[in-house]
Amino acid sequence: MNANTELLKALSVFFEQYSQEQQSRLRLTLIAELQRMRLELEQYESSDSIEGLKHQFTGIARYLELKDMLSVMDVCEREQFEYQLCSLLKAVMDYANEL
Amino acid sequence: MNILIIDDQRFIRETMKADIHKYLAEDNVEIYEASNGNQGIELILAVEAKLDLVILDLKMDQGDGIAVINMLASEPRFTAIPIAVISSSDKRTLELVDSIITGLKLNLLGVFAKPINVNDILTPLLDASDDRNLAHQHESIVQDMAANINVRQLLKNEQLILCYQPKINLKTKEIIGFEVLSRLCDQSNGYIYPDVFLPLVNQQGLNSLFSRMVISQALQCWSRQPLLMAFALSINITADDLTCDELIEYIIECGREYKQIHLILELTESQEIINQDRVLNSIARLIINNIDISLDDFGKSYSTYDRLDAIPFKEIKIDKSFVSDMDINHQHYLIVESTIALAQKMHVKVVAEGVETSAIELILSELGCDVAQGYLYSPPIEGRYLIDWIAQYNRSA
Repeated sequence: MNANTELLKALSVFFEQYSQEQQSRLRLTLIAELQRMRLELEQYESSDSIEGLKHQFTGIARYLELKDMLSVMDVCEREQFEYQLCSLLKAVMDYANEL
Repeated sequence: MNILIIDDQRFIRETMKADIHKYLAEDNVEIYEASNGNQGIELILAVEAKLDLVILDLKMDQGDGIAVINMLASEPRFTAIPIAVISSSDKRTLELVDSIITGLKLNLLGVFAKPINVNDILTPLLDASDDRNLAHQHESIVQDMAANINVRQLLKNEQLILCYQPKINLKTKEIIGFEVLSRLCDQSNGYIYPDVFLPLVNQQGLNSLFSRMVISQALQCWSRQPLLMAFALSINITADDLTCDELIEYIIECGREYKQIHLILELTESQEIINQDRVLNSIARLIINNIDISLDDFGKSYSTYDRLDAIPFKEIKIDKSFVSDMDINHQHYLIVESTIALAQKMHVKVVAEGVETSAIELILSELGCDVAQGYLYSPPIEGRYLIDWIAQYNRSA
């Protein structure tokens, strides 16, 4: 199972707890939040601290129970964090497109 | 029901709203949202005291969770609003916030690590109304009882009942002594416990009279039974008592009269040391006259180490709040472990209070604690049953 498939599985477990209407609202909110975080990250200078964004991302990853992402969050540098953020954003968009 | 969610992450607010609606129908609940502490404060002021629950994140730009907590504590009309703190912060930070909110006497439902299970918040919230009623009833009963108690009269009528809780040597499991715990007996109210009568004793300026009666009665109980002479007799004393020269004279006199009894005075930690020089002077006099001093409730007060440095205590008693859950609370385990290590290095005997289970007894033994006291061995025993209890304990040991 590749990383994206695992993410899709975790997303499906999370969203399916809710009604269709709630799922739709949560999906749109999650995509908007992750896009905002990616944009903020892009605007950061290389010397800026990304701890605030990492804290926000950790909050989301905990709700989605993404254990692999959480395990690297304490130690990951900017590039790795950007990779995790983009992976999750792509997975949520793929999940939304599959519906 | 009106609920306010203050969290800077929209996704988390949406998730919580969806979770709340799993348990409460949309028609029955109005959910307000704020994306930072400042916005949350504005909303609280706008909705006034009509909020049934505030779910509060800690780490937010533009007004963090602590700012909201401080605002709620500053206005009496907001202190009753139930608060659930949610955060991704580490466990120790959550514990610190918990103690801050408890200290501010706010209505804290709990401090929860994200992701939270909304049911964990809603269940205590719905139960809390029942608990609040019960707590209110208890408070009224205590107040009514206090209003009807004539402490002076009860002391005059010798209605002071002393109970004794055993202290057990953890290595040999032998009884080494007993701590005296007092009760007042009133015809209409039955047993009255210290949490009710001690504030009245204090208010009426009867502290030294009361301590004198306790000391006198306990020593008489010991001197009447030769079997009890083998055990140390520990009596609580406050810093306030130590400022009364007549009481100190009386204790020293008693020490001389009852030479065979090993008397230990347990200085309670929670009381402020009033007039430090005078207190130290009294302690020095007691020690010179062969009366041991024990530092009670160790760890409860900020001045603990000051006192340990200034006073040659014979023993320290670790407060039960650290001992009773040390098998499941790692912080408490570390505090007890380091206190025992410190006591060993200072050659001071260490007593663990609040020992309620064999599991805790075993941990304390492994850490090298000298003495244990608590319900595992016995609740406080009335003087008239003491000899029977000792015989029974010795048989079973």
